[in-house]
Amino acid sequence: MAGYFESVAILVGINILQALGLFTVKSLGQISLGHAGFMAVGAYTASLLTLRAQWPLVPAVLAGGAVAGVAGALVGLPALRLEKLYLATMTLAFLLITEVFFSNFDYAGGLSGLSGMAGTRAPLVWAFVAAAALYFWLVGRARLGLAHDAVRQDEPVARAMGVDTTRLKLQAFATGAVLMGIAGGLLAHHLFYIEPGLFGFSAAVLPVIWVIFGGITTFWGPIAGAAVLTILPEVVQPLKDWYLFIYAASLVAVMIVRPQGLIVRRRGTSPSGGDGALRPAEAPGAAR
Amino acid sequence: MPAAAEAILQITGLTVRFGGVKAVDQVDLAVSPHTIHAVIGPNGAGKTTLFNAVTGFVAPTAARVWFAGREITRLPPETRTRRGLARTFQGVRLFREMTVLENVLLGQHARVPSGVAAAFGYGRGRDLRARGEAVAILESLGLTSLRDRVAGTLPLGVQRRIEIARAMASQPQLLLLDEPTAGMSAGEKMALCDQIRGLRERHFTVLLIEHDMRVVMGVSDRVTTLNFGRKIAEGAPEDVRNDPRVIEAYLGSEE
Repeated sequence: MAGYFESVAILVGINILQALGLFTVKSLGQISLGHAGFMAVGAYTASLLTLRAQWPLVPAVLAGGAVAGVAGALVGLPALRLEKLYLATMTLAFLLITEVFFSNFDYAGGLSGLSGMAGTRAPLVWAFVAAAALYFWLVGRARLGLAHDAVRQDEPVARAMGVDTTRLKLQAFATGAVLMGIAGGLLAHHLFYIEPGLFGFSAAVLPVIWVIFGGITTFWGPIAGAAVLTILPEVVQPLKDWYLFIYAASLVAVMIVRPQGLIVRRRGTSPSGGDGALRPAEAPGAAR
Repeated sequence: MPAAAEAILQITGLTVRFGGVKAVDQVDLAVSPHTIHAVIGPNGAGKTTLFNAVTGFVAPTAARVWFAGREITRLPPETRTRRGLARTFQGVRLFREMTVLENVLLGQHARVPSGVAAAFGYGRGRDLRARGEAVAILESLGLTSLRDRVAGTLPLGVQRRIEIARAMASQPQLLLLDEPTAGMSAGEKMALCDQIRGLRERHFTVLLIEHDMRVVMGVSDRVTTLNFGRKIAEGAPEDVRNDPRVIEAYLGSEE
């Protein structure tokens, strides 16, 4: 069993994986409230494989990621036609469906869930985090990362550049779901037990908070957001009842002081001459 | 009129209806390769709607559109770009938070490996060559010193040039420019006219929407005039300028 510090390290790593899993979608300007559903798919798949089929942990976790990735692509298909609030609603509906599904899935324990999974250690979790970070680092400095930013900033113009937004969105849902599935498998084998309620609404909202708190202009944002907001409660725990207050206050403070999030990617050089001040005249009353 | 088969862009019977309004009504248009073809007309004549229908931003009510010998009537915008169309937008739509160079790199998206494999190094040679070309395009439009500046902070005239650079970066067979000189000073307009003429020398084909008659007369090989969604005149610039229907359309709507 993992000691206290390793336990915190494991949770930080798992939460970073979740934040990155949501970031793939957020970096296209899309939103999802259903990502915890992919986590449930990964957690249950990996757990059934280790408990019932005696698979070793790592292949089981990878298989959980793969199955979640397929689920992500399937959810991504209808999501292609939806925007913002409609997409949030649809992904939330998917989350509720997974919860009901696993509650009635008797082979996987139904409402009482599964127990007996073990084996997640910090080095394993952080190996996955490192692999994911390497992936996002490579994408972020490539044309693919630029295309993501373009879709987020102005989707119609991105399409005029020849960016296949349909493919990018499907890819984003699938890769994000793989990361959520891996996070789920690792979490299941850390917690020793899982139940459907573990992957409910609050599990869906937390990664959204981490990503917004950390910022979406670079993958370092979600990493920082998940790390800070996972460690913070541990640090302020001695304050007992005040801990939620401090948690909430720091969220509000960051949103006021840095609405773009903790970490913002700086682009370009600042103006050296005076022409930076000559902003194009915008249509009267066009302030948005 | 050259034979239709030679046209790089061929539109027949284009009608676009918004509710009860016919923004474009039964328009035929043929653009010959390596020419500058201007579309003029008073406000609301349907020029931008015509552009949007050609680039796939608006679904036409009726039309057949051929580009480089293949029909593109129902293709989505990104596929048309891959086939060799590129456009600028009325009122400039750069990626404002990106640098000038990043905007131009995005213009190359369709013709350079840009997927996951490319992030892992696939097609690195082509990628580097394209980056060199992007720098060269900036150079040719006098934008080299601004390459690392954030696009949204630059003056409007400069932004329009960046938008043209971004459109050129896809190496299009047909470049559609929507009011490229709007809001520019006389000096900026003359400079841009030179650059548009330079495009023709470099074997681009240009379809141009323009309000300024001096610009139209200065750069165009052929001019099509629209009014209330219909084509009312077409021909060489000097013929169109003296066409009584064109004069009436302008005076009738602007007075």
